[in-house]
Amino acid sequence: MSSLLEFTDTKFIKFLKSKNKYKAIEELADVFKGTDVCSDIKAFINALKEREEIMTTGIGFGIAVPHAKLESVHKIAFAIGISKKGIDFNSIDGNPVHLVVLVAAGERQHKEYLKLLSKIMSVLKNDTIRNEMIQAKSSKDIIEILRTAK
Amino acid sequence: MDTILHILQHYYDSIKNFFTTRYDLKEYILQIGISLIIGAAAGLGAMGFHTLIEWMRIVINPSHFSRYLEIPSFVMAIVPVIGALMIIGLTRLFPKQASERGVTSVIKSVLLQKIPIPLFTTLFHLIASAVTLGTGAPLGPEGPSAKIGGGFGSYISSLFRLNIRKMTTYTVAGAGAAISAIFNAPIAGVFFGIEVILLNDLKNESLSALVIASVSADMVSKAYLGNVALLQIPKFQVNTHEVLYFILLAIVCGIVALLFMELSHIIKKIYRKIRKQDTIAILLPLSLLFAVAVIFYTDIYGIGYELINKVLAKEFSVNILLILFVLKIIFIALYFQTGAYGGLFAPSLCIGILVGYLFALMLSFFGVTLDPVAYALIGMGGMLAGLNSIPITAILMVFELTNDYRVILPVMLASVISHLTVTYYNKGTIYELELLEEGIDVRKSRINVLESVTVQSIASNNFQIINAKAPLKFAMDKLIEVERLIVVDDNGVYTGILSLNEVRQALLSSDVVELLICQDIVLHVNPCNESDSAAEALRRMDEYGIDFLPVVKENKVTAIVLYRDIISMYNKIIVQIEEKQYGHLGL
Repeated sequence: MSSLLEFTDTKFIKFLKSKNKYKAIEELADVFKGTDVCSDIKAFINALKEREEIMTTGIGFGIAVPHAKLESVHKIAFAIGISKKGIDFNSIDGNPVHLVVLVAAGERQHKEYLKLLSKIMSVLKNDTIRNEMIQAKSSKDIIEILRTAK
Repeated sequence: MDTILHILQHYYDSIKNFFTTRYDLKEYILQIGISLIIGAAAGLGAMGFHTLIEWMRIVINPSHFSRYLEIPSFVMAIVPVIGALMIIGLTRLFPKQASERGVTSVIKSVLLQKIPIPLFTTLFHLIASAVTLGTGAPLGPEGPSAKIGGGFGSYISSLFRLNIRKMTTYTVAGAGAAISAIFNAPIAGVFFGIEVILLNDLKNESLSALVIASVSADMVSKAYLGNVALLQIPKFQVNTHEVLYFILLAIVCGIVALLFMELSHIIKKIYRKIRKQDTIAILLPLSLLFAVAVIFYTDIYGIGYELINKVLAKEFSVNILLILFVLKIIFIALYFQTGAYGGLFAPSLCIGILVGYLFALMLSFFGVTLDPVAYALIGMGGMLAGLNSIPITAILMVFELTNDYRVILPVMLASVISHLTVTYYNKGTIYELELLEEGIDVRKSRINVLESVTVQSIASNNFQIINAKAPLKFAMDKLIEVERLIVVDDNGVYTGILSLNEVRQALLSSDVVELLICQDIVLHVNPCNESDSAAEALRRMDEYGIDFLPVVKENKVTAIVLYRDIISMYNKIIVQIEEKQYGHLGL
């Protein structure tokens, strides 16, 4: 699997204002608007919300990984949302989420999708990296953290 | 002692060789004998068929009949209508026999079904085709002849109690032999068998029987008909420096063949719709229309040999030729696709003659002087090859019909280029495409036997379903037990599949397993229906890179079909075919 940086960009990193998880998903998914990642943002947001309704993607440790595979996603990518105040994601540990990693993949990008999710999870498992990302001041800082992450 | 043993060994080998040779000799003599008998029977059948058509043609031909009874020719134009009524009656009386029509039924019988053609079916086609062609339908005698010859080959094989392998051999031989007899063209008959019935399988063991039977049938034909040429060809001139015009005509022939096929396909689709609604047989109104056309243009009546001879004798103006060309194409396509019994060889010759002749005349308007007779003969080869996908048979048939070596080079060019034009556009020959419509794909080097196996026959009920909303870790526990899962929604409607292959990547990280539900990694595979073929299921498995496929009925999964079961079925069929071909049931 290539570096995580191949699947994101400074444009895809956002400091979130929303406090509600669905609003936060909408806010973060909007970073793909006008890019070559997804041609139907509305459908993508709906898919993310529907998925969230079935089971929370808030996996604890202040992290949520909303994700969806969709026909209108043409390029596998992920966006990062930072919330200093925290969002209620109904996480499995009950804690608010400070780091939202939103993953978009095409309908048939099955293997790449799972590889990317695995890679993201393995990076976020590291407490230091996770905390550095939550404390980051700018998109460039986050990119730099990912660059140094192994 | 060694010397004695050596001598004994020598004698033993000699005796063994003698008996072995005798056994082979017996086999060869029998094969030659049976081939000769089948050739003669096919030849006699073809001659009987020819006589019946000729008798009907002469006795009830509108123009001939009116001469004797002073009945106006337009009254006698009703003959095709009477013919149509008889054909409809025969078809409705014997629907099973009627459904097995044309050259493709012989191909199927030889390559797929490997079962004898019943004698009654052969006789039915002899009568029904004679009625069709004898009452003026503009089709040819070769399709029925092949059916009759192949039928005799099959029937005689069953009388001799030959095994399936030999029966197949003699069915091919009989079909080729009948073509040899009906066209008085033995070499073309052999190549008809190779190109059409055997679909170009030159390694096929039927070849020697095919050659012997064709010679035998042609001898019967020559004894019966004499050396009378089918076509009366006036003197003509072939100039080899006109090669560019030969090529141009070949392309024109290919395009006309494609247009004819397109028209034919449209008519077939309409006919099928009408037939489904069980309305009056379309053949009756068609014959009425044909009768009206015959009143004005008598030359479109019948197989077309008389028209060919008249064209070659320069009896028509360009305008009339154009009208005859259009009428011929339309009525041939109509009759061919709406239930009449006849083939496309003779009509191809007729259309080809008209195309070639018109081509030369048209170019003369632009100051290019070409011999229309020569171009008519070249067009004949080009159209025969293009329309029937038989380039070699076409070359040989034109040569045998004209008996003139000068036409060989341009006819070779015209046949091959016209054939290539058609196959390039259609991606298959007319017979291959017809069989493909029936779900039989013979375009590969081997018959795809899986086309005739339905998934229902090999499906398994051993599968488990899981809700799309279930956590992946729950699915993983099930997958360890059953390897494959069907994912459904809350209403039990099929959503996709999950197999160990799909979740292998997720297993790399236990955190990912916690994050996912089945819906996240379900593979949305297009399932198959119970009636789909195993070949189709295999294609879909290849497309998705999976080893099983759900079988659905009204969006609910009823079974699954496994890759290994399809392969196992394939091997079983191949073994069965081998056993039939090489089993020692008879000789």
